[in-house]
Amino acid sequence: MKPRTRALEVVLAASAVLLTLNLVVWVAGESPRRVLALAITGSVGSAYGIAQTLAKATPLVWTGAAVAFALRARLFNIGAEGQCMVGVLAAGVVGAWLPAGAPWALAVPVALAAAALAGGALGGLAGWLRARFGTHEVISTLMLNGLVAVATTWLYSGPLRVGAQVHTRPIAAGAQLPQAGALIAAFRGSALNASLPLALAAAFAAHWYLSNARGGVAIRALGSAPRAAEALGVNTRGATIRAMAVSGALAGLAGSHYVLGVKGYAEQGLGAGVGFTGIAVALLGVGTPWGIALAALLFGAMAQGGLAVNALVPSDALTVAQAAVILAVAALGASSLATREAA
Amino acid sequence: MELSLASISRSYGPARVLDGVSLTLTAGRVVALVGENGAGKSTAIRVACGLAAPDAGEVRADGLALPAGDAAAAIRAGVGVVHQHFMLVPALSVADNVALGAEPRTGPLGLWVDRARVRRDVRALSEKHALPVDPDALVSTLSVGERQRVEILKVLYRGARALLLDEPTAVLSPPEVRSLLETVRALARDGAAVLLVSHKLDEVFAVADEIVVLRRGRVVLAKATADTSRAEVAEAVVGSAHVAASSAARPAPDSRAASLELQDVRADGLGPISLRVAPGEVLGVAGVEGNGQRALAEVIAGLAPTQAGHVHAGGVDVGALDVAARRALGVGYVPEDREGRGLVGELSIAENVHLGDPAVASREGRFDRAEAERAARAVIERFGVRPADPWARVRDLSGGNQQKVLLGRELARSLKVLVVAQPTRGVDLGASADIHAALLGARDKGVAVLLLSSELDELRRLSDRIVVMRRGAIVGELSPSEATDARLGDLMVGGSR
Repeated sequence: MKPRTRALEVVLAASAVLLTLNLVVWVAGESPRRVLALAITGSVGSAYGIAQTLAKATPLVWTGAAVAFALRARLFNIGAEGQCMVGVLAAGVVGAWLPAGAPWALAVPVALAAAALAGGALGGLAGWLRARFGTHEVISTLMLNGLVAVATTWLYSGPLRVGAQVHTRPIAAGAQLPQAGALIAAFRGSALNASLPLALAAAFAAHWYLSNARGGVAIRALGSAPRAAEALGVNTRGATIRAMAVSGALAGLAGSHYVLGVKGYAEQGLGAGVGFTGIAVALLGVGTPWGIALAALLFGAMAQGGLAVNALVPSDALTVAQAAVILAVAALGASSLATREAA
Repeated sequence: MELSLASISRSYGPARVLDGVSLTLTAGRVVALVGENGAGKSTAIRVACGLAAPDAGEVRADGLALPAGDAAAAIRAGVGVVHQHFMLVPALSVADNVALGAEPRTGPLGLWVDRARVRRDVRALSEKHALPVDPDALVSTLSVGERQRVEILKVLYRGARALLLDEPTAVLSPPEVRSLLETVRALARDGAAVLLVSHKLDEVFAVADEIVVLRRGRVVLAKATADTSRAEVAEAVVGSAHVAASSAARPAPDSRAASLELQDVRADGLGPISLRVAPGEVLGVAGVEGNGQRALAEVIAGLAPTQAGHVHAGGVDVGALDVAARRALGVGYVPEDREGRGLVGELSIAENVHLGDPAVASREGRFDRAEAERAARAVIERFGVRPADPWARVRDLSGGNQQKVLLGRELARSLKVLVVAQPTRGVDLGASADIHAALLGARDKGVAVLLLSSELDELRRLSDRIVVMRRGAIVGELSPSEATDARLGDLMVGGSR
């Protein structure tokens, strides 16, 4: 396709998104222009807004990278949601279990590892079910999401409850991630923390692994031509489990943002929705780390903008706009695919 | 009708695929379009049927220019294409497939498909053109040859009077090829204008009235069949005098040793079967497709489980070994299903070649991209793969170049046993000669080669012995000199014909 037609399509898609947003706001009885201006200033109009947008983007980089990784093996990890929830739980429980005086060089890696292992085990379980019994990962991860939701609700309100509080004991001081506000005065009060650079590093590392490690190339071979991978001697079951386990671990690490970066404890509802938004981030980011970072930023800005306009219209207006973005991207993807087929 | 391409040019990106190509099809005549992979044959067909618009020139039906790139207009004008890859719905019946998208309507407001009429019409059409196929049979139950008849019926049903057949014989067994060529002649006799794309000069000379050779997007030869010779056509195709791979005199392979041995092997659709291939020997396997050849190859490669019996490769019982372990022992496999089983289309040449090393495919460690590039360059140079870019995606290569990459990947390793299926299917003459030479080269280095092919000439040229498979078992063994078409055919179909 000629670049100019492509650019035209992108402009059309962006206009469609804006139109949708305007329509929703208008139906809600507000001035679209005022709401849009507020959403923009709220998300990127101030240092604090930018920091909050980046903070909102952080878990999406984790889950976006998670979904994108599994997609390279042509596995659709719908379970980033549940994997993130067990990551939150594991980071909270292990963070609290660490002795109060544990040095950060020990406490942070241990807490991160706990989140990764918990998410990885859940993802790996879905991978194993796929490899061993052929259970489709969309079904198993979706079911596991439900299972995790019930199990964590019970744990937070039962065994892990501390007195009248509905969250776990606070984590050891050493397990807390550095805050951006402590470093840059303008970001003070925001939730932005060191989980963001970790997430970006992980997204790049996962991408690097797929091209520069034997196991990574094997995963891509499996995703592209499973029968050829088998004939080359690739351990297809192992690669399936590995792809899902790594994907689950990345999703679990999204919990580090909430528990180690923001709250300092785990509670019900932390990370709700980021697993599903991560699917959109992965699709919009077309599998490259930069793409994932930019897509996460876009969705982070929309989430933060939604909060900023909440006084005027429900923040759901921005959720509708997010859906419009996903539809627009899907349509653009389909049209570029169609032209590639025709070439 | 008369269908002509007038000075057609078409580029894809920087590559000029067609460069001022003109050719004319007239009612009652068969024109054969011959050329190497990537010479522009398929693009010429795509332009002729409106699937691609030319950059310059026009397509004319009975002297009137057709709108460029308008497939519907081409169909209305009577242009019909039988594509190389069948476009049928396996779950529908023959009649439903034939009428799909062009169903006659009946009932109020034309709400219903007149299926009775479709069945009647399809039956009449199949009788008229001697294309026997049951209109009620599900396409999924048909053989490859029958499916092709359905494709031909499909275009005839739409009233096509100019028929473009894109490598129709590539997927057929020898008896099916014969009957297809008869059909082509009959269609021309009934007044159709036919364009036949083929790599096989035998077929071309048997059926065509006129031969057009494309090389790098240009017509380099266009002559009546009676006025040309095979040598002239072959030379026009490759652009220079073409030397056929020949089997020079050499000592007989040591038949006491066996690099590959199967003893009473049974598997799904196979056996019991026993065979031995000595180091430096080529054992050809003939048979109508679907008689256990694929199961045989996959059992040796470790991709299909055996139910009984023993498989020895390089003197080792490999029954308990997985694919990677067998590959590490020196078992190579070139499957007929090039893109599905043989290569990973989304990956580059370099990645595919490097994954051919079983240690890379099956173990953890660094994927050495520099090493992968070196290995790919070696394959590219040895086989003249185009484009000569180690990081080109395999999916973007032509079929012949894919086959070179696949064979090159396997021959780059030190092999004891090589199982090759249909090594030159859909591959042009020049590349076929390279592939044959490479297989004989492997043989001369002491590799035991098991060659499964539906090309009887190929089997005779390369094999030291030829066995014939039917219903999963070996029903006869011949030397290449004994293996005439007639004797092989008898054994293949299991009766006197």
